[in-house]
Amino acid sequence: MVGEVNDATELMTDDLLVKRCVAENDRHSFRLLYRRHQSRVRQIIYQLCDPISLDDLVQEAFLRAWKGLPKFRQSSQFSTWLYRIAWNVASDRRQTLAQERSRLKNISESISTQHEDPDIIQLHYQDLVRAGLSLLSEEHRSVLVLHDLEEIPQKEVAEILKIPVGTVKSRLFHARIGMRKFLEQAGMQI
Amino acid sequence: MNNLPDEDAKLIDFLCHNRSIAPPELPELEDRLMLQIDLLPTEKAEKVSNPWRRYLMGGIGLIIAASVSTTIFQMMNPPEPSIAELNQLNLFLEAYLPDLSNQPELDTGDRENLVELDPDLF
Repeated sequence: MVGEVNDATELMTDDLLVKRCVAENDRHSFRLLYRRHQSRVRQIIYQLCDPISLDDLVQEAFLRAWKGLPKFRQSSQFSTWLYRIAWNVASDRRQTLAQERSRLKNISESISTQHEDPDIIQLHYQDLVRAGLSLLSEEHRSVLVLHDLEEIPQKEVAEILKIPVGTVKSRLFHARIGMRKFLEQAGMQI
Repeated sequence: MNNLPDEDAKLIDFLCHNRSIAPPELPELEDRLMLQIDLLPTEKAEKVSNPWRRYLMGGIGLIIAASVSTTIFQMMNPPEPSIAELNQLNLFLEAYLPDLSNQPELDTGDRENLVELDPDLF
């Protein structure tokens, strides 16, 4: 049963909601923060580690956020801090997942761009992108997902990953090269 | 993403167009999350919701530490008597303590020669 959130709370900024969560242990405010950010968090985690139990990971991310709220210094945006937690959850997950190289090999062998139904081609393209991301290192995949796919500014990506902006640029450069090479090997001309 | 090379722009466009979309969440995920939060221990919430208690305890601790430090310091560095206090002591000695070098030893039974001390000096 979904809890009620009054209109006044829905108009509050993230910072105000966070303060209410911390000062008043206000779960309604946190529920609203969840509703605002869960889709983005979900998409980030999904693209970073392509997990099977995505719901569990999303829940884990927001649980960590709730527990860590008292330590959150509002010098940065709440979303930046939250995405950092999502990245941590995905990173932890990746460490326990095995590389799916055999899956990649099967996908490459089955690719055909001739006389295919457009929907199937679309699925193939999605498989290609997913496979290409899985082949990237964690560092390269992270910047590519956060910046190119999620359109998060480089400066914010740097805050999320706690690296200099220059390092973000460098990793993006190499990540794009890696993806381009993979797609070319798979027969794609970008 | 301004001023991107054409190659990068096309690549990013392709990736965005064909990125995987996360499957929708279970309808009960939100309530499940809130339930997990409700089950968390509340001690942390109480401490967090009352930060002034920490400040108060810290302040009391500081006061106690300062008092102890001051006492120890005074014990190790007793204040020297002022000139007025020294003069008063000298007057007392001259008025009430006889010159022992010129007096015979007192007989403990000879109470007439004993000087009565002014209790107000104590």
